[in-house]
Amino acid sequence: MKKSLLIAFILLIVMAGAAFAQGADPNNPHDLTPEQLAQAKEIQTELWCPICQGVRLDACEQKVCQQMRDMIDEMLKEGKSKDEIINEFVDQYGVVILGEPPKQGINLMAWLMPVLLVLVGLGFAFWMSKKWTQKKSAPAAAETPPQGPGAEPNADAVIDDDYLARVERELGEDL
Amino acid sequence: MSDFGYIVLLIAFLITIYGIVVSVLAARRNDPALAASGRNTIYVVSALILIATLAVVYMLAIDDFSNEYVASHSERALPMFYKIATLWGGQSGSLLFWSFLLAIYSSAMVASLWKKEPKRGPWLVATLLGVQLFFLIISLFASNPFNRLWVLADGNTIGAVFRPAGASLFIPADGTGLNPLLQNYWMVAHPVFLYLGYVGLSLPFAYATASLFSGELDDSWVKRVRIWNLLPWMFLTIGIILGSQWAYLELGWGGFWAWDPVENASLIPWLTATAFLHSIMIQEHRGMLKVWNMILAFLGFWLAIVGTFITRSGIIDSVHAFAISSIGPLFLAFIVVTFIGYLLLLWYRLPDLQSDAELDSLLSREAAFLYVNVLFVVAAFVTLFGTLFPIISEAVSNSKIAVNAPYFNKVDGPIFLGILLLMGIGPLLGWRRTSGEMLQKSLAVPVALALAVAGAVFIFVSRNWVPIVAWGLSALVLGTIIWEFYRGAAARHRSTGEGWLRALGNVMARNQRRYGGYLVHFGVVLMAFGMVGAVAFQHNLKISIPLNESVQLGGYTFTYTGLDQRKASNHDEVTATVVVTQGNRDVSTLKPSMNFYYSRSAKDMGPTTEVGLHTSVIEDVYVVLNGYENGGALAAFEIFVNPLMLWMWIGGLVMVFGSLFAMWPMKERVPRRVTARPPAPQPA
Amino acid sequence: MATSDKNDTPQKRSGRGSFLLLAGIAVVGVIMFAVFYYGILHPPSKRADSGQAPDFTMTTYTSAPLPAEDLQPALDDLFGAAYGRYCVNDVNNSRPAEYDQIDIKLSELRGTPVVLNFWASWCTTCKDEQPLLEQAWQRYKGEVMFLGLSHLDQDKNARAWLQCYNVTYPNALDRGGKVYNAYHVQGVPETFFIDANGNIVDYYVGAFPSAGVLDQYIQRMLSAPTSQE
Repeated sequence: MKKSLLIAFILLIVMAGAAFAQGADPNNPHDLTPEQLAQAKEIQTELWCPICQGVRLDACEQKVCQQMRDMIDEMLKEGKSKDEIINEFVDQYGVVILGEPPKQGINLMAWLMPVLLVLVGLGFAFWMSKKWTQKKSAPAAAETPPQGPGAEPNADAVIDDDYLARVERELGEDL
Repeated sequence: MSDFGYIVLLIAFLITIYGIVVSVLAARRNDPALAASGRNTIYVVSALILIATLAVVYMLAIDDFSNEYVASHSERALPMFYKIATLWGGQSGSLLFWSFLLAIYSSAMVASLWKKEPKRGPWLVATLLGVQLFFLIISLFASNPFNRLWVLADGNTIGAVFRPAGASLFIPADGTGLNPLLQNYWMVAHPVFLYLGYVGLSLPFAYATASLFSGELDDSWVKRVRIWNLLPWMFLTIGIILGSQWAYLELGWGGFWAWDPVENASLIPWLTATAFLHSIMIQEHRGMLKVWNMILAFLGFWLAIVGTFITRSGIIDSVHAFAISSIGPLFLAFIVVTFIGYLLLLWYRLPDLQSDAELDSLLSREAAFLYVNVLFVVAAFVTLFGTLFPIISEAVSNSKIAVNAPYFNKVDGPIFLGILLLMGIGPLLGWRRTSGEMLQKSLAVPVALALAVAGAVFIFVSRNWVPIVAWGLSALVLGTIIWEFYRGAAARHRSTGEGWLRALGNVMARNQRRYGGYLVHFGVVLMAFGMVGAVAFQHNLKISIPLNESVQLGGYTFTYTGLDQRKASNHDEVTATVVVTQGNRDVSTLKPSMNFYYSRSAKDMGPTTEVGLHTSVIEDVYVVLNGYENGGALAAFEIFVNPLMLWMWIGGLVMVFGSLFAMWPMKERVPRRVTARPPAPQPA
Repeated sequence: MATSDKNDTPQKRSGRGSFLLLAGIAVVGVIMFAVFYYGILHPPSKRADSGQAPDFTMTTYTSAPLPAEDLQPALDDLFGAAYGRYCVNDVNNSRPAEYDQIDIKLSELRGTPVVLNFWASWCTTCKDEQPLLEQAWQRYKGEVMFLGLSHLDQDKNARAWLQCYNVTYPNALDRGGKVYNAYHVQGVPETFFIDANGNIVDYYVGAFPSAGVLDQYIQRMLSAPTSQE
């Protein structure tokens, strides 16, 4: 597969920066300020490798990702904001790099559908249970827990014994 | 050997057809002798499939490269263990393996239920054989593991079982090799459990179908199906957890769940199977939700097939996807036919599936179950929708989008939190109804715990709402579990005078299912604890370190001290040594490595990585070697510190232990239905 | 209670909910079938391999050479210190001015067959085929149009690449991967052969192994029976 061919030559590439720019810090080849480095990292965690499956840009070893990271650094140096940078990426690389459907056009459906499903599901369950409970005739619906014959002085005991009785009863067992 | 295996499978196919016909006839004519004949075909077919499977295993073991499957998935240098595991390393082998597991399951289920189910029995056999028939058709006619390689007159090589005209047998000198990512113990075990889960979901489906066909629609089937759902559910759980382990240890990106379509395909049926697990309890106790249960029994099975279709037909882009293959249309046909057939059958039986009882109150366990059911099923379909969405988007707008973790975390996350909430409240509600006063009393402890935890997280740990809410809700569930254990033990302690521990033991042993369920819930709490920790508080750093220099991350110091090269049987291994210290304390010496496999298929993929991992109850230190240069003068690493990771795996173990506890055969107990108001407590 | 319920028309009571439930499930199923069916007919791995080639407009890279301070690091980055092994002697070339930042519309090239190559500067195997493409272009110039689209790429890197190989046919960034998606390309490099009528007659996946193979494809495109004009 070609996709895999792309993966093939990754190893040295990470170091490429170090190879040419003698003296430059391999971990900060573009000489960013600490704030910019933090910002670069933040942007990296919001973008995704466009040719992999579910690999975030900051953890991606592909050459294309390395180029993307370089581009982030350069744009930060140019003083661009995070939003500007992400928009530029979407324009140049396509929406794939967002890792999620953009919230517009047909892709908005991806965000509305789950909400709709939850609402319909819960709504249906609620409607059914309302319908069911309304069927109950009023007199039968006295409050529980059923008080034993002769109120117990110790409410705790009533509840707990009731609990045990319930557990055992549900299993069809007597003590 | 190839033709032998093929012929055996062909015979199995014919007998399967016979078995279906005979079983249906037997059911219609009510003929026990015919029914027994149908039942016996299950055993015969199982034996034949076993033989066919062993034939593939044998060919893998002896490197019979005349077989296409062996030639394209194995290689001489592969260790024997992996050669055999190659059976499920490729498409046609794994589909045969699927048949094989189904055969075992079917035999076991039929053998155990035959005497109890005179009327459903033949239909059960017919349905199970029907599913088996589908997989045999796939194996025989679409994705054949017994193809041999032939060179045609025009020089092209093709795969076919029997000699095409003018062709001669082609035997490559060596195979192309197993995907190196799969050469890992987790990855060998993971598909086995996953398939045990997937295939096992056919059993509740078959049972439900048999009930619908036979018209035996009383609630006895839900009692008996429980174990046949719980068992595959447990296997699926194990399979999913092992898959996460594999992703964590092998893919080297520091995470354990990528929401990849293949992962989603395993999660989706798991969600509906979990819903089924809960909702059959309502039918068992209250005779409600009969139609719903019929649907859920079907959905688990159907979504497992749908998941297989999605990941194997090439309709979505996935790194795991097998190339676009001929099995896609067959799977789609099966999906459509089973769906329509089942729905029609259910429609036809609808009048016989009336609830025996009504919901008494919204404050009842059955109501909580109902809502949690809805959330599980919605989560399943939301995940399915997200997985399929790229197709929809491309169809409509011709734009390629990716639907990755951020999407699923955002849409599934809140649903899972809702499930946690109901997990916390549901068990405290009684069947039928619970008074507000009683609920208040039982909720006091869990809610106090939840608020305390959420507050503590807010004050001491993080202002991020995810851990605050997720851990708070986890604490709620935990509080509920503790309260339930306490109440059970206390009640028994009081009424029998047993010591606390003994009382707890007894109450658990006598209520295996209930307390097994709570143990599973406890496992879920631990998993949520670990997962949220690892996701919300992960540190990572991508960095190149010169030899003998150090970097810092998350309070640890990492010193790169050397690089070694080593030859293994089918790959080269480059291993870095990284010494991890914390202050003056030596934590660990990690050995992350890169493996360069020799085989043809592996060369295309590039090296694989083995992470260096140090685990503790607090956090994992996880180092990946990404590259090196000048013989190791500089090496590139990605370093992760993943808090609380271990708890996820422990939680998984607890879940499995809990389901085993709930399943463990002790004494058969038949729960009595709560049909009238519970009588006053009468400790006898 | 169960018995009392049976009396008040159970059919109607439980019927509506169950009916809605089944109907809902059926709707979900039908939608899924539609998606699956579409997916099977249009798998992502199915290229635009025949019929009318999807039209597009590309805005070519500038022909001006990259300033040295940008060129050198880019070459080092793309090809390593030994870039001389790949590149032409004078990497400071400027490319033909006629293709300097112009818009080229595929449909306006009707009458000329087109070789459309997708590549990227980060792509390793593209390195092997780029010289072959340029040579072929030199040979077929006038008879066949060559177009290059770089996918998921950046201006500086792509231009350094073009200078390295002294590519003289028009190349452009495939902005947002739109053309890539329209042709359902699976990965770079990939090459499409479009006849004079704008129909895709063939495609090649991966890098051409030799000038001969590329030549064969071009010849086949040229000799392909031209469909009705």
